[in-house]
Amino acid sequence: MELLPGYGEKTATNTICKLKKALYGLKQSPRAWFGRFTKVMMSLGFKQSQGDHTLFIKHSKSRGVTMLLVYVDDIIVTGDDEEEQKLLSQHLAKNFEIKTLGKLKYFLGIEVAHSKKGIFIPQQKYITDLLKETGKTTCKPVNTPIDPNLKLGNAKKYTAVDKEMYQRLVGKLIYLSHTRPDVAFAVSLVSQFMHQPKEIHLQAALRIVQYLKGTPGRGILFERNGNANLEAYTNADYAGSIVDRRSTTGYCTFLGGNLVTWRSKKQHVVARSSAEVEFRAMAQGICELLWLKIILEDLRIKSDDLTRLYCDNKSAISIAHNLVQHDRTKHIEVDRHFIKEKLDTGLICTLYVPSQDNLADILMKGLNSNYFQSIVSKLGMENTYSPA
Amino acid sequence: MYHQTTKPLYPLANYLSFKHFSPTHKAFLTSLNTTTTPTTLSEALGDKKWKQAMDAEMEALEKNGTWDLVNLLNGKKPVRCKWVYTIKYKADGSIERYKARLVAKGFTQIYGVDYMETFAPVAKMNRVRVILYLAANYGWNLQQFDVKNAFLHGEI
Repeated sequence: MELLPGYGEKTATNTICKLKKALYGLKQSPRAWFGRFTKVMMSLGFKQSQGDHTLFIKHSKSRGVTMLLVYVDDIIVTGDDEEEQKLLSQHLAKNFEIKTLGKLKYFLGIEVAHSKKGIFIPQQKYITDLLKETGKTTCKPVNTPIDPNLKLGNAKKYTAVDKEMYQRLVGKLIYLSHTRPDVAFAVSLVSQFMHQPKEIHLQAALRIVQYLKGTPGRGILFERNGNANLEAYTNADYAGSIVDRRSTTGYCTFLGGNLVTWRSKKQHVVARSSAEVEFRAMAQGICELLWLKIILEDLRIKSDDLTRLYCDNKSAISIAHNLVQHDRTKHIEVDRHFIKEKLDTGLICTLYVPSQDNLADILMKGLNSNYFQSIVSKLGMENTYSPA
Repeated sequence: MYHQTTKPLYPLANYLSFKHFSPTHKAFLTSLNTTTTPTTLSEALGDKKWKQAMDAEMEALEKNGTWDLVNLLNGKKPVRCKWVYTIKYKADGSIERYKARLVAKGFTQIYGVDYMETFAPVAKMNRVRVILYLAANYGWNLQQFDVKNAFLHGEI
């Protein structure tokens, strides 16, 4: 690197600084930092979790466990071994300059509230800021994030809107869906038009904001249930996109009866039958369950051996159980063998759930107000509305 | 020598009055008006507080052993760098400190020459939620830490 402007310019002209440590702005800085951090953690006897490389785990002899999660320079530490935690913070302070922020309250824009019932994570401040920015502070709230009858296409006839502004707004909504599965589908829909937003898309995005206005304090509540059993609900609409007739997968997984992960995603291939799309959704749901299982195993947390996967399509379930070379399913062979293999090992069992009880519905289509509210309450979302 | 003028042609104060604001808000506004962040080196060097901030950053970098002084090899170009100045405010709007940070102009680096791999994982939100559930379920305490000058710790 060149010599610092303002310092040491008196030295010979061809002298430079050879960097030994990273600086802000260098391309390799984040990687260098993470590498250094990993090295320190390893030297303290921590293991990197295979399910996630930013999770470090240490099992102590007293059967306690300490875990550390790192997000660039933000660190969360938890576990049941308080001694080890104290030791860890001392070691970290020795190696780096550490600011101890105490009990976790605010992490990456998400509030963490501790109560007798459990832990509650809303993004109220983030929503208030968003309302201010969009000028919707005084708007009339709506009950659902998306009109159930709305089908969004490319809308070539409509006037274009400011792309940057649209992308920023949708980007914020995407971040918000970390604690709000209720808007996940609506957000995934409006984010499909980032490259060429039109008036109608902006209106749909602003409707989500309007919905948020009515429920700014809503978030997920993690309740103490005493177990760590895994369940998943999967669902998919059939050829829902009017742009390319691809379907949308929705799945949500529950750990100990609490919603932990969910996803609403347009499938990247066109399916030819509703059983086929459900089938793809099942495969995706199984992947998520397996990943959660890996993490739990890393943490040596006992969960029920059987993991339940709920699906509302009977034919998809029967295809999963019988590998008959059905004429209509020969092109989804890989998914079929994948699911069959997991079922055979007894890791996962598929169960039928009637359509009206399938919680993943909220992640793949727009719902009417009553149905929407009933699913939201079943997902374990709480609302602590306090007017700011 | 050419000097860029920072003074506006039509100052806002000609058209606005601060009379009706609360005292604390007024204090905040005046601090906004009186303290500007320098954009050029000569501007910063002329001001004692910015010079101090630069010296502090310089000291931290030297203590950290960030670089060695060497001669430039023929045909190589050094990565350029610059100072970035920011004012850190407290929650009530009063000034916390003046901060100068030396940053490298990473955009002048060339892939394969100056750097190879850049991927670094960050925690996924899914993971954070799993951890939060486990903490809630087993009643573990959750602690948060923040690393200062994180990137300066990396070795290259």
